[in-house]
Amino acid sequence: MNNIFLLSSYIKLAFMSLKKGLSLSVYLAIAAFIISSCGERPAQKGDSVKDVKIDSTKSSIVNVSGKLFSIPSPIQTALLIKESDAPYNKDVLSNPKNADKYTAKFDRALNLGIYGADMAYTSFYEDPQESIKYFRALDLLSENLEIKGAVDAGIIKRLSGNLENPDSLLILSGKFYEAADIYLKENERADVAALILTGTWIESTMLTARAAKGDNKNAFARLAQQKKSINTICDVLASLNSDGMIPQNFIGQLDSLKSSFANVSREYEYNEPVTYADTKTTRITSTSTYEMSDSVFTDISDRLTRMRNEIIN
Amino acid sequence: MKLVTAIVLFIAALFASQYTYAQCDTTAHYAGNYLGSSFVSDGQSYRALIYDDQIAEFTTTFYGDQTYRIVAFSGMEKEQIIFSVYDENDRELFSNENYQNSPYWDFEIESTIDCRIEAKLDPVKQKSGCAVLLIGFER
Repeated sequence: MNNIFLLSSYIKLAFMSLKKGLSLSVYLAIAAFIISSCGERPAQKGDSVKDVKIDSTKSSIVNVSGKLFSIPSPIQTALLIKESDAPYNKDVLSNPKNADKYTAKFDRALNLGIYGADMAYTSFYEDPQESIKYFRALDLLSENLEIKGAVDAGIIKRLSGNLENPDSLLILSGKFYEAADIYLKENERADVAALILTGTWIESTMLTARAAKGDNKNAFARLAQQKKSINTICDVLASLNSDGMIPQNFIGQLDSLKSSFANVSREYEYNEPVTYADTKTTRITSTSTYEMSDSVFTDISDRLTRMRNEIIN
Repeated sequence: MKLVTAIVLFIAALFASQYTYAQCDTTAHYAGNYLGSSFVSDGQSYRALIYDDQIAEFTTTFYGDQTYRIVAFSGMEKEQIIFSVYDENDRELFSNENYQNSPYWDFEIESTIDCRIEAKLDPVKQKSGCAVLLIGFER
């Protein structure tokens, strides 16, 4: 269905052809287009990007299912936690032995995201023995969700062989998520892709909140900065839940969390950016200031923990 | 005669759809090379089939004290896509149009900000095609 602009070309062709009395040809051409666009595309090795839909009938501005962009990757969030100097605590992570207990698509997708965040976390803190456990859990859930075939076998192999090398793991994890994301979206399974991202966000934000409890100001600030992400997640999931796969109580919990984040205040100040053409770099100097009271922090932290525990148990 | 035309169009339409996938895959492969080894993909990459003056648009949060790289690529040739970064008040922070449509650019972020990114084809160079955008953060 990402070929909408091609469809518009076919429609133009249809009008032209109808004038020439070629209606049968046109109908067949459109049928061919629809057949080839709507059928599930088999997972292929080497797929490397996701689709973006264009609705050319609405306006020249195309909003590219882009709200997903606002959800930070588990790798980046794990990096931010590490950089905030939070102490390592593997006891708070999800139990990788539970991977085969999740049977519903909804639970599998969320927990795949959670395990991905935990794998990135253990890797950044250089705990390869734990990373291996999360990799195995990730591998199993990918298979159960029928997305493993979409990921280049070479990536899986290199991932499993690089669990003790955080740098390699980072790059390979990024490729893994990218391939899964593309496959899901090309096959009309954007809801699953969004739930995986939601799982990673919930886990990594919960870990950030736990770090912030230890009077870690960096982690506290990072938590407040998630205000936009929760808004995006709520919007995306609401727009993708046409088949009702996502339970209403889960949507309700996210909405409550969004309401809690609404109490985080924010001010933006523009400053002129500085560009260095020789190094192809622009320094963005504008600033955003976030304010979060202790009571709002406690509220957010408690809600996150409750949600996350319901997902993993 | 009509039947022959119909069959030809039918086959052409089937190939066109598959070609579109293949074109985007190839474009994505080229784009990926520009992330290099020092930037890690955010785990999502984005493709858009853009036609004429259409604009692909999305929002993202850039976190403070981080360096990001945006890669924008269309077709098999570089410098065919124009991308611009705006702040939350729609003030332009950067456009590669001022730098020969550079296929990538790095952004050092002092403080966490929400941004909007627009991408469109350079009408002089390309009328339609698959646009691929990648965001990576520096390790």
